[in-house]
Amino acid sequence: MTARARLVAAVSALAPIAVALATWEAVTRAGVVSTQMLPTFSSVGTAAGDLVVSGVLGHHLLVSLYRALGGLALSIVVGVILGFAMATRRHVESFFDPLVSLLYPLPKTALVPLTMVWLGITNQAAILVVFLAGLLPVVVNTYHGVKRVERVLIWSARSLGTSERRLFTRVVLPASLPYIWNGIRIALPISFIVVISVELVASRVGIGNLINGYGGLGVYDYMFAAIFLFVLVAFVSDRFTVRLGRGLLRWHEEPSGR
Amino acid sequence: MARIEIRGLGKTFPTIKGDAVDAISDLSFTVGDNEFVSIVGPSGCGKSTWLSIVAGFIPPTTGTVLIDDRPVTAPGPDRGVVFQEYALFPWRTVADNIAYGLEEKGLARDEVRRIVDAYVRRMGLAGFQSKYPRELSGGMKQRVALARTLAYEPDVLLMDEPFGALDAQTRELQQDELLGIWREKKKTVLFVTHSVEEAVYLSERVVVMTTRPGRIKSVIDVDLDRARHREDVVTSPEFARLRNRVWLDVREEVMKQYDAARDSAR
Repeated sequence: MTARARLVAAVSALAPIAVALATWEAVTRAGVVSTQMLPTFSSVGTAAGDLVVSGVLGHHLLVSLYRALGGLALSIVVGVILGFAMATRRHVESFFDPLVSLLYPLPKTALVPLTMVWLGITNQAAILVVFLAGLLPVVVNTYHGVKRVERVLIWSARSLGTSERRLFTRVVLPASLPYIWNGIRIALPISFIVVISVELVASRVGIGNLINGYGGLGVYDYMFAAIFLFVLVAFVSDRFTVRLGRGLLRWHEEPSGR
Repeated sequence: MARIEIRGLGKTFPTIKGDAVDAISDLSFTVGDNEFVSIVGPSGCGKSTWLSIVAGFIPPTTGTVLIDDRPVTAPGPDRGVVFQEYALFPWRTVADNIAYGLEEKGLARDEVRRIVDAYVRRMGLAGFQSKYPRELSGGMKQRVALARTLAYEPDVLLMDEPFGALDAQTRELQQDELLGIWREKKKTVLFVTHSVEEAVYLSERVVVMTTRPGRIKSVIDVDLDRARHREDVVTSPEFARLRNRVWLDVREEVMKQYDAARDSAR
């Protein structure tokens, strides 16, 4: 892409957002919607600045990120091991397959009351729910990735001197990495969604708690500011993951026109 | 230096319907030191099954395979395998693919690099070391696969239709490349192909298989003067005679299979 084409692409992606925000500002300023119900965009911007500068955002964000990424890390480790075991061992598959099918449609946040009883209002409770929510996409994608590893790759490695025991790290893991990565990409936004949901209900700290607190007090400009800042963080981390995946899976991508 | 001795080999596969199919039955054959033997036969005659058993990928139902008097129980680096579908590791570059077997051997990094460089030059892959398999043509992928196998110096080469997916010109170039390597490195080669021409051109003996269950129908000695150029060999009357001889045997088996299919359709 030329610099000019890139600029056009960036402008056309940002234009709808700019239009929406401008409409918001105009509607609230003109008094069409009461600022009691919906604060002006500019006041939300001011509140966001204050949240960042005062360090309030940083404090709560660190807690939320710790819970989201901690839970995600657990789902990746357990999910890859379980997905691999299910794909390679029939009795493991027949044991876990009904459980996975049953758990799949369950909204994991429905378990929050239970985790509160078990673990109280703690980081561990939040991490547990995030972990359960992120686990299934990782398990299912790993399972399919491992099932699709070509037999000739295994055979080649075996005849080139790889022992049965080392096949996992030498062949199966790298060969199924595109699928595993896909599962991680699905689990990442889930972990963000779930951590906020948990914190809305069962937490004394974190972005979800912050949103809930401001909402309860009717301080809507700060509430919106907290939401937007978190959306920004989630967006940036998704972009970062995509970039990382491109580097990691360079060998797998279809050759592009560039 | 290696001799492959095959004694009373048989392989039965279960089918979905619950009965069993004999892929190969009562195969006995010996491939001598540094000999180049090709296996041809109608499709489904079990020629790839035979090769997979020698490679140690699947266990035989009956019989044994001995490599220099040692029975085969698992795959091992004494036998290098080259597949039609190349089977390169897509996440590894050309150089890293060639290095794979050497890494598994535990060689020092300098040593690995030295050997890889030598094979890159030998196989005409210079400038492509850091490309990934998906960026290569079929002919080039097969050269990488061959280099990867040759690099750790197996005594035996087992090749399962290695040139089957290549276009005619590339295929001929690869055949001559393989002959050069075989002469230079003194390998024992077992080569599965469905091309009669390829089998006669490359090998010292051609084994023709029967239709399923695969048995040995005939073994044809090929005594061609290989010091000559390709064109002189393939246009010689001996080549035409041998090709015809092998072709008639294969054709007889293909016709049997065809008749059996027609009878069962009635």
